[in-house]
Amino acid sequence: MNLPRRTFLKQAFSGTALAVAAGAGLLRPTRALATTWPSWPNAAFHQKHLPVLLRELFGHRPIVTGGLHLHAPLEAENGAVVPIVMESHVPHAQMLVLVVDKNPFPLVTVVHLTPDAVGFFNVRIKMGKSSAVRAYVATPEKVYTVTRQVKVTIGGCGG
Amino acid sequence: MHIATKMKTRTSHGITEVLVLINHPMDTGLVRSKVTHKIIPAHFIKTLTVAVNHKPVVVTDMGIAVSKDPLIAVKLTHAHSGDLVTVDWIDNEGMTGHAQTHVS
Repeated sequence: MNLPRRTFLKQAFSGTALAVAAGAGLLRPTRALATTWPSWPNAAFHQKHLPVLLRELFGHRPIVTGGLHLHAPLEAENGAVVPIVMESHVPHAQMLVLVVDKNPFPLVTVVHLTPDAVGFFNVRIKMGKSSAVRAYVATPEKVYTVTRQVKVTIGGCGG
Repeated sequence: MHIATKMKTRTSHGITEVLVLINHPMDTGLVRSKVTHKIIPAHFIKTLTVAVNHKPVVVTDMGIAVSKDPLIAVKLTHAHSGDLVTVDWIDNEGMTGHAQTHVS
């Protein structure tokens, strides 16, 4: 491509180049999406060791307490359906993460946010037994976290 | 097998909440069938994308620990009346689902 560097960068960032490529069938929608967000984090979802999992997700960013609300029941009658709400209003939130310490695979979900989204996620999860539930919100500089203990009377990983 | 995807939006104070309900088994691959005594293979949604006017706003990666028939809510800040909100998901077997609605 023989364009001046400035023009090329402008086009690349304006999305025009991407739109043209997509229109020409060069990029399938899923691929276009994958350029914006990393693909499904296979290693993290299979990681059983919490410190390693956090390093994989957040790199070397410092993790501090606070910064978000985690609504979880103190006691869940049915571990197959535990309602969870994560909510954060920290600026530049990129990602919400939910972890259950004592599940066979601790990572539950990774929610990628854009500036048009509120740092909010409501989901129902499975818990094998009583455990700490941790929510994280990641910003470019640091990661905030809150922990709640949830007591489970009937385990849910048995489905 | 068809998996139904339902969604609705509700707006108050400039924030649009998007509610999604998918009739998906979310099998973990860790459970043995009580009838056949064989492991039920994992079958779960991996990625769910909420987009406004075809622009992704929230992209969620999920594992096996999300409950059967996922009910998920996210909130959007800059959705306006008439905007097209779409939900698309793909599971580990390559099955996909889609739903769309306009912000009221």
